[in-house]
Amino acid sequence: MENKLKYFIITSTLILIILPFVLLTDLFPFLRFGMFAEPVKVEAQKEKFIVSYLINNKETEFNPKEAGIGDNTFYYLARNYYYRKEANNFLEKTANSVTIKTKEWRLKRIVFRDDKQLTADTSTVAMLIL
Amino acid sequence: MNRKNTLVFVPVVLILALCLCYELTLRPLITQAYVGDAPEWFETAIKFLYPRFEIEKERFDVTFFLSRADQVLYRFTVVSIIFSTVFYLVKTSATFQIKLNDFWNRETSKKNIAVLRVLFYLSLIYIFYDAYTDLILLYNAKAFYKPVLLLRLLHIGYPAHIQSLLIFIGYAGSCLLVVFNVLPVLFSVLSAAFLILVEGLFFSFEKIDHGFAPLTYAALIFPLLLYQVKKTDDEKVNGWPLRLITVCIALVYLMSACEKLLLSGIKGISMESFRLFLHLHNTPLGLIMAKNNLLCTLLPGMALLFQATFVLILFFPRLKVFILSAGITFHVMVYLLFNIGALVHPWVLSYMFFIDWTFIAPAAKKLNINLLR
Repeated sequence: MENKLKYFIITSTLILIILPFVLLTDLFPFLRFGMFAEPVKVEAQKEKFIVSYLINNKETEFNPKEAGIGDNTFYYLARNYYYRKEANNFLEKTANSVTIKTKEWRLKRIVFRDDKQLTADTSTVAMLIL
Repeated sequence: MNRKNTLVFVPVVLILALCLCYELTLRPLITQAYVGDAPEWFETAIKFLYPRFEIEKERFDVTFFLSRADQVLYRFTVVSIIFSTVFYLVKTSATFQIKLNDFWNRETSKKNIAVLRVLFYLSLIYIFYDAYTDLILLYNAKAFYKPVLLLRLLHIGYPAHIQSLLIFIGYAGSCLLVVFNVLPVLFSVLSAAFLILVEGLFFSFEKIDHGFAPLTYAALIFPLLLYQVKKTDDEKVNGWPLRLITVCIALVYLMSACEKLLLSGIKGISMESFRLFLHLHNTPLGLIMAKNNLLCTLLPGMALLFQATFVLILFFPRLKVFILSAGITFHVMVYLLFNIGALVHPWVLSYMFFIDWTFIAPAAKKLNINLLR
């Protein structure tokens, strides 16, 4: 009986560990591991997002730490909101997370034209006027 | 039909039925979902299983998703065949049964488990020593909070300051009580629950950090090891939970290697890909390395080889020192070249489970360290 329970626990654990690999998705707390697994030639790996705001008509780059969030997570969120066509919603949430007194927020997308990030096209993809 | 034939016939029929069902019904539904024309139940299933679909469909065409779905089917088929084969062998071969039991039922000493208990739960405190301040900081960004499935099912919202403090006290407190061997089984379960809660909260901003996974898996299994200690008076204990922890860690590396090969093929370890990743991560050492053709050719291949062969540590203990040293080098290089992880990486901390710490107990006794009871 005890042996059966042991092997039941072992099998269940292994299934749970392998399941995200099979389904190609994270099922927290069981995760899919694929660091650098995706093909490298996708646009997302050649683009960057920047949030800025205007103070006295001078554009300043927003530091995500002011919203209590790490750079990587913040720009990952920016990318997600942009592709979900919710960029304005993203700027609204950013503006509500900080106490910066500004009347204009911008989300910019930079697409690099070469692998070494020497040349790039920058476009403002969303603007929030308060 | 005899029992042996049934054990072969049933899994084969089930796998074939699933493949047929996928080809005839599920695959066409993916194309429909891509153009927003799928039935509601399928859209709900996609939101549940593949929440990034809405984002990725803006970037990729339908063939990308069909190839991903095909991958799920291939992987499911291969994993099912492996599990079915093991099940078949267990039921039909006495030799295999003995070997399987030998593999899992490795004895370990209570002293080894005691050292691991102290090291592991101190490591858990170390990796999230700043959890409280981070939870407080993230409160400002709670507008972006999008709970992971588990927290969503449990209806857990983002905690206010006082709740964050209680969570942190619960987490660190239960870890410390395990270190001091106070009701270790109970508090190890509690610390695992708090660990998952803390990680869940951090990962509920649409980004998951995979760096803590081996320690999380270990935290989920460790209470079983402590239970093994509790239920016997002997110095030797059946260490199957410890074996399970090491198998999980090795599997994680193996799956990482398979993921790379299945998604990118041999291109995934090409010099061009590696160089591009180095430029994208833009670290000083990475940029120097990017100029060297030989290193850009060798390093990605060596990394893949390391990930794919880590599992050998389970079968050839003599390779332990070599494989663990390679692992430490791998994680240090990932940190220096890509700024991912840390110098003392949680994955490296998880290597403690591959070491028999019994040798440390007499020294600890001399120093009168009572934690190792």
